[in-house]
Amino acid sequence: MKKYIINENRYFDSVELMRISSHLRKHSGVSDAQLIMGSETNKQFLIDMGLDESNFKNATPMDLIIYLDLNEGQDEGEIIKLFEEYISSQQETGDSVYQPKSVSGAKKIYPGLNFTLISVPGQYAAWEAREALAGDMSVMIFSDNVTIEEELELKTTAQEKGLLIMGPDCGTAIINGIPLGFANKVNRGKIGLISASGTGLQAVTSEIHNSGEGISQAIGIGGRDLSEKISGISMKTAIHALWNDPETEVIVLISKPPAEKVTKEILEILSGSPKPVVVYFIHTQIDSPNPNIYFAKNLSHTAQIAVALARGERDKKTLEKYTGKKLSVNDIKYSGKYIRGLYTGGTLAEEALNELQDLGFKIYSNVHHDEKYQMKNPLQSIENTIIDLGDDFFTRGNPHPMISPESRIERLEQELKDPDCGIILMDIVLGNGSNEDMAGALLPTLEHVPDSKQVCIYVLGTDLDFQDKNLQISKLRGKNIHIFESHIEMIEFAGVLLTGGNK
Amino acid sequence: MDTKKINSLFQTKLQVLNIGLVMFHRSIKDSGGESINMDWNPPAGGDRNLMEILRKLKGEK
Repeated sequence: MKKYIINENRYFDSVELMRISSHLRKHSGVSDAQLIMGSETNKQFLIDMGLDESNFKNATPMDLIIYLDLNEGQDEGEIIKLFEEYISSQQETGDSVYQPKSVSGAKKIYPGLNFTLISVPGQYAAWEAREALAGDMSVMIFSDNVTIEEELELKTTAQEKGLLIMGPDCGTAIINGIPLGFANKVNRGKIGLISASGTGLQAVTSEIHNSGEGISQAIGIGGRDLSEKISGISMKTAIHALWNDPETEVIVLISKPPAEKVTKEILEILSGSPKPVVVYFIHTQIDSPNPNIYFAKNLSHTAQIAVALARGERDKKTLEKYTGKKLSVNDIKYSGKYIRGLYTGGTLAEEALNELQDLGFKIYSNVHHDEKYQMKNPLQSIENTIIDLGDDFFTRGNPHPMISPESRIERLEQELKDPDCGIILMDIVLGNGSNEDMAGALLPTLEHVPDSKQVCIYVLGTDLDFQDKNLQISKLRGKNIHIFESHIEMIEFAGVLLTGGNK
Repeated sequence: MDTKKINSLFQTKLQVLNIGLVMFHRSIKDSGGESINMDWNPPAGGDRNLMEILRKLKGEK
């Protein structure tokens, strides 16, 4: 029984609606549920699903479309009541203060506001960011789907005003000790970070905390900042800000491969750095004679160099030399031939892909740069496969896998049944915004890992995260399961397993 | 490069205006930060053409 309900002029965010849709789909009387705002893109998504357009043709971007496919005998009112209860709990701010309706109104009522966090749909994010800059506030834009032209315009304005734009598509930051977006709770300290990669920033800040050091500021800049068009405006501003920050003694830069021209410009700026700088531009070989700039080989190495520098070590040769741990894989047996990575963090998927390729393996992926190894059907693994489950292919109409475990559990079950699969790699990313108990959600599936396979899990997070890293790890102990707190150690372990003749 | 405003922000208690996901507002407060949640609706009722006209009226580029 298919039902279409349109709530006129009732706006909700898509992330919240996806969470509710997935919550309603778990009800035994619901065969399918889609709650979606009536934008043209969303209506096309429903049409692509095979739904009858006449039922929602006139809905506007401000109207909520509720589509329910109910099982025989299921009362529609009960499901709507469930929706209303869930949405009101999601909208609960936990305080009773007045909520302003505009940025200028907010500044009039609360003149102390000094920072804006924007997570509205991309097409409206630039509008609100302009208002925030006009109000003399630095801005973090969590939203994606902001055009690169808008990004350039916002960052140029911010630069002229001496303000900072973090993003668009900036998932993580820690400013003045407060985690913003999907960030981990870490101790404060001497190390300041600037990153164009969200999960990369989370991994390095967590490892620094876990090593006993702390963070002064962790500044996200968005994945396109080091493109030729944006030319690193936010990274350059942030470098100068951290130079002038008395709390920061060591600076860390993280990015996916930047445009060549921008790399040169950044290195030119760094040549005048009064503070030691650790640079990790993923899969980019850089060499610099500058004694104050240190190049890292992977995320863990980045954290290790930063920690050593914070503790006074300065020998460039020692610090830049990366040697993996000697990992023992004796007595670990499995029979499947191939490795399968089921990742929720994009940067981690990319690091796994690059490192395994460097070890000589041919890897297929839905995010491979080389077309030859790009998967035509990401739902079906080919030989050695690394999947980024946070890619648009998987998240269109579904919550991100860091929030909702369903898509990964389904894929994990599929891989566990595949006789060709021998090693499975996974990440569990903790912190604000992530699932409250990912280990608990995966556990029923992980209790039955057959002897033909080995499952390796990297847990990214800290003991201060609300999920508690140690508690999550304690839940995951089990047969044929290996837990890591460093991503590269997990990759190296898997590499030794794959090449070490343990079969 | 003048970064006085940013460095002054680093030395002041963060007071966030949260526009969008309410869960971020709650996370900031749970971490001991200050946040005001905006009661947000798409500008100009989500009408892109109207948004453009309003921008021009405000003299923005």
